[in-house]
Amino acid sequence: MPTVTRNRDCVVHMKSDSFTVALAPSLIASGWTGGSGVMWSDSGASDKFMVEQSDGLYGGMLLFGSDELSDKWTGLSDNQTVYSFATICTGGWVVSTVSFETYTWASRQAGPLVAITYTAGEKLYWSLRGLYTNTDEWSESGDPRAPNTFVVGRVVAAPSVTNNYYLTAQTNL
Amino acid sequence: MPTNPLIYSRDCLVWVMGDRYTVTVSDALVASGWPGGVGAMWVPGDNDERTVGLSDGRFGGFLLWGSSETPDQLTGLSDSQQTYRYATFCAGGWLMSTSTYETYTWASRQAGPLVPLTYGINDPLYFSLRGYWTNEQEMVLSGAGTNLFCGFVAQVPKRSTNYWLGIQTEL
Repeated sequence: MPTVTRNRDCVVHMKSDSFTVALAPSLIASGWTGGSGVMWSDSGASDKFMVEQSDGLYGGMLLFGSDELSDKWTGLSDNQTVYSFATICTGGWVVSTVSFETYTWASRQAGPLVAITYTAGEKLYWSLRGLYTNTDEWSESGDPRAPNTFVVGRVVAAPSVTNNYYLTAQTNL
Repeated sequence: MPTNPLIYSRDCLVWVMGDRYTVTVSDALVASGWPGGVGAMWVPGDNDERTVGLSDGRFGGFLLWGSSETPDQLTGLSDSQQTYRYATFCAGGWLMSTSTYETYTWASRQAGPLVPLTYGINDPLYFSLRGYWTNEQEMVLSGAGTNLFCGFVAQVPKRSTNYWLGIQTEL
């Protein structure tokens, strides 16, 4: 059974760089899970550094989700979306997270769902919706930017019963 | 206008620091001078000092302070880097804004007329053949080799940023 408590979307084992950024309206509207990928967004007439959900490019990952269970009934409830900020993580982190793709891109389009198998040491990318995945969704979806050469990390430990089915990753952001 | 026009007074403005240390600068770099935020690459040195020259598309990192920036004039920092042959060298992941980026396409700089270079948010960035940040792969365009990815556009040049380019470095 897990020996590390995993009661948040993104559990930090080793820290690296972090700072706060502004959030694009689209990200505030959709919400996000902790550990999900973001890329830079044009803040218009403002000079703020702003991010939106990644579509394969980065930025970095957001440490805390917008609406995590652990924040309910505390002063952190909806704090990030109300004040339009989040903590972005860059550099080399070791984290466990629920923010990873569990089914292949192709099977998510039309089904039936086909599970993705993760193996320690594999390269990780952001999926088209900003989740960790071990496949290149630009190539799979016919995106003109393919292939995606932006490796965002490596698998440290595959999801299993011993880690509460979280994906453990070393980031390279 | 910029939110705070005073802070855009240097060639390279730092929002989040990465790794940095001092290096020796080459004779050519001392002679030419350099702007802050410019790309630098490793070159052979005279002795056991780690020595950098101006990037030709390859890197090491970027130089934090220019050799002769206006804010350094008439202070103890005037020409100190060139006189003592050192510079502060930046590597790793930085979030910074700089005026040291290409504003015209490589092709148009060869024979004109000049064509402005347009930067998009999240554009991958490289160093140009003269060490400026650019979203063109000038080593490929000129047949000099293959460019190495060194950052993303985090903020496009615009009036509110005094037309500085915001960059997340990957060095």
